[in-house]
Amino acid sequence: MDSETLISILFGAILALFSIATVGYSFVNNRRPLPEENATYSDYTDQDLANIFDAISTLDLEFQLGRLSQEQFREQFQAYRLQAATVLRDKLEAGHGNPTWVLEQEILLARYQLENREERIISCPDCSASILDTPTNCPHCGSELAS
Amino acid sequence: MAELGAISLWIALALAAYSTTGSVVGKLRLAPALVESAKTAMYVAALALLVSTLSLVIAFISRDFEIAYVAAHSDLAMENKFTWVAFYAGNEGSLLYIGTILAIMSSIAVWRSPEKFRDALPYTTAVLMLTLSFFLSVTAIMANPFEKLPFVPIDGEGINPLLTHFGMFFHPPALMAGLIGITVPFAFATGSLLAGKTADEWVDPGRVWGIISWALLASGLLLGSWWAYTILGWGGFWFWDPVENAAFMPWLGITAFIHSIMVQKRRGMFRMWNIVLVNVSFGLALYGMFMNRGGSVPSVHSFGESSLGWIFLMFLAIGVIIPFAIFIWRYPMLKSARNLDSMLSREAAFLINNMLLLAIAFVTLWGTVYPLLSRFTNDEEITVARPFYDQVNGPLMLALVFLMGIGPLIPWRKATLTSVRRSLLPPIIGGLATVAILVILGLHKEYALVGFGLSSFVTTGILMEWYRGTRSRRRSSGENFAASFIHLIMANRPRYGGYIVHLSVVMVTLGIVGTSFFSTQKDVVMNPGDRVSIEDYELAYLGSIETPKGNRTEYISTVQIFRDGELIDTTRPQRDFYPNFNMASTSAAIRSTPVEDLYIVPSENLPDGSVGFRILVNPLIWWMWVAGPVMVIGTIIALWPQKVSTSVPVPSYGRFSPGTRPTAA
Repeated sequence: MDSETLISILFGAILALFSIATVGYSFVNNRRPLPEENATYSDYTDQDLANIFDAISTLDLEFQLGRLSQEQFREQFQAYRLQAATVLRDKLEAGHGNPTWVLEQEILLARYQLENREERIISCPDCSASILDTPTNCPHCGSELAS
Repeated sequence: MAELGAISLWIALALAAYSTTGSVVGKLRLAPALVESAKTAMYVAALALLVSTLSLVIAFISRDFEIAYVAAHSDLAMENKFTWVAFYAGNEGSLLYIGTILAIMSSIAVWRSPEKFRDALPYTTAVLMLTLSFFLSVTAIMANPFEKLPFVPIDGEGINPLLTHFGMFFHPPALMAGLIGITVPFAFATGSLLAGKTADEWVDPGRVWGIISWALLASGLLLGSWWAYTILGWGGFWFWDPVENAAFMPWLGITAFIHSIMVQKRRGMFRMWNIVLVNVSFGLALYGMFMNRGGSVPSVHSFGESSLGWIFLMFLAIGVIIPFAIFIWRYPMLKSARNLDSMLSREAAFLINNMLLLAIAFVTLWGTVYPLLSRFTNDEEITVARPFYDQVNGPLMLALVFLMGIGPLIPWRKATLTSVRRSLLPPIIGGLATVAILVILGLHKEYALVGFGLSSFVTTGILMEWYRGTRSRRRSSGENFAASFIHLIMANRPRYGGYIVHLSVVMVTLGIVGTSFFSTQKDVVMNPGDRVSIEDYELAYLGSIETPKGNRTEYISTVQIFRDGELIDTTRPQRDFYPNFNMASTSAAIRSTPVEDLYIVPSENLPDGSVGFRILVNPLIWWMWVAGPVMVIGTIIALWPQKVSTSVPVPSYGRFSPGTRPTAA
């Protein structure tokens, strides 16, 4: 047996030992319980939701300080609102959180929206984004909106 | 290196088998450590396969002819740049490549899977690793690339000359990765069914991996067509060859899937359809691999005679029957969240899209297996040739292009006739205007007119969508037109990436229609000094130079091209003869423009210095090759993670307590 073959076999043996050690390590290290049958998960955390509300609050401040135009404010607010609604819906569907609390968030979002604009919010029939019904085209996907 | 490669291969096989059983047992016995360990085994299997792959690459670079596979697919004269091609030139190396790619894709897919899918993930891991175990078993036991010869030959047999082409660096690996990549969305769907998660948890990863497989297959098919066009020397790019069809069918299936899955993502509908589509695509992908490795129909693309056919046929049977049994088992749970609101909706367009794509796939399947069936039933092999596919698939494909034009313009749920009329009017006018102009210019071939009209119809629709969206965004943001256009695309990447891909399909349609209906061909034998005319060109053959090389003899001819009496180009078509393989490969001289290709290929070099040339003028084929990069760009845009724009920095957590702060304004 030549030296190259020996080195090859040695590397192979090291790989085999590494494999056994890595696979076996899970038994030593892993104590996380498996999820219950039919449990559901949300990709979002409370942190995400808090960040969105925070951003909305800051946005409002910027607007009041005259740093944002009405149009910019509306567009960004809609983006945040859509984010928040997605998180809330996801968490509710996943059975997380107190439904009363989730409802409260929805009401606060709706009230916040009413305080800031008179226009009606509609869902784009094409991309489902929440948009104001004033433009003729959806600002997200460009679809022409029926009058 | 042979020992390390072989040991790594066996280690990977052991890990894949362990991961399969560990995932299922761990899940059923509620043993989290076992499930986690099985998942880790999958990652380590990918690592082991990378070591094995690297070992074979090093063996090729060092020309280790003691390894039978290296001796069979390389020689001392082979340039090192072809090592990558030689790696998968045979059954053994290509199976190792498939295993490595599957292991890498599986690891990334499982690692990046969403948390909400965690419950079903062990089953998905098991499906992925079961498939990997199959491929690695075949590789290790029946087609081991590290098998040694009893003696060390002085030189190898050399690489197949047809593979020494730039397209071969990407065509086979892209196609093989695309075919095996379908396993990933299939595994997510099957894992979801096995776990009883019959809602939409698997949709996001299924869609992403479906698009990745689709793009790989599409790139592979286009590159393969380009390879055939430039090196096979017959002037065409698609022959409806059984192995070509075997790669085309799963592409059709996965095309239907990536469209249909959008309906489930957006509307919670088509749950059964999507499971069926991903199962069909997986079955067709396995069929493709079976055809490629010992299927009973000979093809220029297959790996030739091989004893692997029966084992792939067996796996194909298992891969079709079991997933459909699981589907039938879970059928009662697969009810869609909503019903179809109207036939005048985007959902309905997707439904028809599914049916058309499946129809084309099954027509192609029928044409591919018919010679076999006729052999069994009539003792006489009846081959199905191009006219059959053109006549049956041609109209179906045109209908598909038409649908591609109207689908994106119809809203979800329900459209009114007024809104549809308003959306479709400009594209219809665009399409009809194109037809009218072409008729005035003297073009009277009906199919071609329909093809060009539909291409114009789709393009007008897409450009109109872009223009309207950009105009709307410009109005709301005050940005300039270019910035508005870029931001529009970035704001909805899946949609606009999809439009770019649709444009690439229009380009392919232009190429197919142009070459199918307007190609001109001449086969001539020319002596030095002879001239020949074709369309607006006149060609002058000046002579050939014969140059012996290490493993081949090169014949380089010089042909001048004149147009309206003026010399516009001098080309050098080439033909190489490989005595070891008793085979010639050609390098066509192609003068390519967006309007047409002038294609010159030497088919025979005669002893008296004369050369047999095949000369073609192929209109619009340039668009077909440009479609490839356009499609890749579209796919990347569609897959790029969507980020909701936030121009205002988000303050840190803790300053605001959810539930109270929003009233601050």
